[in-house]
Amino acid sequence: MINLFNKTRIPNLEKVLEAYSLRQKAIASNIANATTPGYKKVEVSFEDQLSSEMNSLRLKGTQTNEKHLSIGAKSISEAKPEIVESKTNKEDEYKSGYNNVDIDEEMALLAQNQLQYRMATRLISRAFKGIQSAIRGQAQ
Amino acid sequence: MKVSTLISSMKISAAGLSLQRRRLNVISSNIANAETTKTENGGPYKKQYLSVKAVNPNKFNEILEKTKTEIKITNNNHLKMDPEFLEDTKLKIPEAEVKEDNSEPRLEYDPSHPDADENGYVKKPNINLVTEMVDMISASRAYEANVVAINASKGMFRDALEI
Repeated sequence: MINLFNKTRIPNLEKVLEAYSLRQKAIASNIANATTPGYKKVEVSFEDQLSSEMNSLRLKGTQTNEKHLSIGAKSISEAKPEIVESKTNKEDEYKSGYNNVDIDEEMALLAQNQLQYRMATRLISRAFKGIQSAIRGQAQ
Repeated sequence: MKVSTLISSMKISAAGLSLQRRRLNVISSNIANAETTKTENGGPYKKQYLSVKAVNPNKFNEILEKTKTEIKITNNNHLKMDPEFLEDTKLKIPEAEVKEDNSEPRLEYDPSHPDADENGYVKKPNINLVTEMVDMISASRAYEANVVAINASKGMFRDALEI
């Protein structure tokens, strides 16, 4: 679909917002279950998908036709934020108490996530402002 | 972006709040009854505790998903039944159940007590006040953590509205 915004960073930032709001959910779930015995903490995998994209960028196949298969790296729009169970399943963490949720870590993540989300929203509104001044063809 | 995403992060935190409040209620009941030697069931009051397990809140949506397969789209104008929360089946909220601790009652020597047995011992509830106080602090701190999480979600939602 051809869209005024496709060539801007707005679609990417939208993806980022989606990932952060999913992460907010995961953190809320970890905090709500901080005293639930046997609970396994969850995380959102998104950035790691992106970094693997960055690394394999040079293998990117060019698509000159819609029917071409994509080779190599996925574009950021194909990265899918998803919830995964945390892999740090050390036995000790379960022995010490209820589960593997570290409340300090979660609170720090919560603050970090909130700020990152705010940053993404600011970047989006700035991108919109940029488009707006391009449409007007003059400085504010 | 789905509005439901942020709202349901608040719902998860709300489940956490409600759990901690119930814990606090149970603890209050234990402290209030720390000296209760007679109950309706006979015998001293028994310590209550919450047995908590993490469950997926989307059971309802799962059922909806099952019925969804029976709904056929025979026309392009038909609406698609697509519960969008389903992808998050790994998210869990705590669900609690009040249980009684059946450990032995505390025996106290007090022959003048009306509930004393023939040896002069009174069966007091199996409640340790210090443990209850510690649990109480833990519950109230966990409650605060959930409040902070809700405020963060609120802030994010407001930011999104300011785009």
